[in-house]
Amino acid sequence: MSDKNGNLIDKLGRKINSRGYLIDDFGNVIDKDSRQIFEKKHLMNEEIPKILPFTKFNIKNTLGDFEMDPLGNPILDRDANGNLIDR
Amino acid sequence: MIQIPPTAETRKFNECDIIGDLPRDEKGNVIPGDLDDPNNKGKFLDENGKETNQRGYLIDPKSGDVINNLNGDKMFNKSELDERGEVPAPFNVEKHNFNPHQARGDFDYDKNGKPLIKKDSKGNFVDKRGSRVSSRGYRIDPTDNMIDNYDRKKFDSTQMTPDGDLPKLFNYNGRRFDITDCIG
Repeated sequence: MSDKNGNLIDKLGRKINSRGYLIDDFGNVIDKDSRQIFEKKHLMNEEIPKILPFTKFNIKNTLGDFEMDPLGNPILDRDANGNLIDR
Repeated sequence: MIQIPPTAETRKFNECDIIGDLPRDEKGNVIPGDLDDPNNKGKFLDENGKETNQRGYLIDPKSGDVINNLNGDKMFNKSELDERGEVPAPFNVEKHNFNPHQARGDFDYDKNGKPLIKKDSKGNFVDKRGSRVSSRGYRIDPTDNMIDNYDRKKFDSTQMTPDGDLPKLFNYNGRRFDITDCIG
């Protein structure tokens, strides 16, 4: 269902995204009490990540390729858009 | 139903699509076939005799590529797996994807928004179409695994709570939330 502005809504008239999650005016996923659960930037295909007690990962698989300074901080550059990048 | 091969952007990959027919321990960890069983000829085999790797992922016996358990199509190249047989990032972390709308039974709701979950003549919880659900309203198969509308397994019964609820879900702040509070 859509409202008069073309936004997707549920049977109660609440705004939802294409995957059926309740959203606020900015596209962030919220709960029934309007508390933000996930920011819009963390959605992919408007779907939320599923983080569970048995979600495990190896940190080595998530690190970029960079050197460390003597204090143990990663040495990073920035691209033309100001985003931090590895080497 | 299954995206072949999976892409990270769609957030549809679920490890249940590539795991062989194998038992799990009480924590839901897959127990791969016995490599030392002389009948297995040095291979990890599932209950149907299909070859898996050490993590229980189905593999093509010739190429070693990971294949799915729907039609045997390739999901990951052997070269993408790490030394422990794990699939590449982000699929090694984001491997429990599902959409709650496709895993909930079809219910009428009371004035407070609670689903009216009935029982059939055998005492099983069912939705209004007669499909089996858990006491918390999630679609389940005869062995209590959570399934979606396409009958594809999304969670093993050992990963569900004793009353058939989803395992705990967290957001990026570490706050636990109930997914039924977030769906329209």
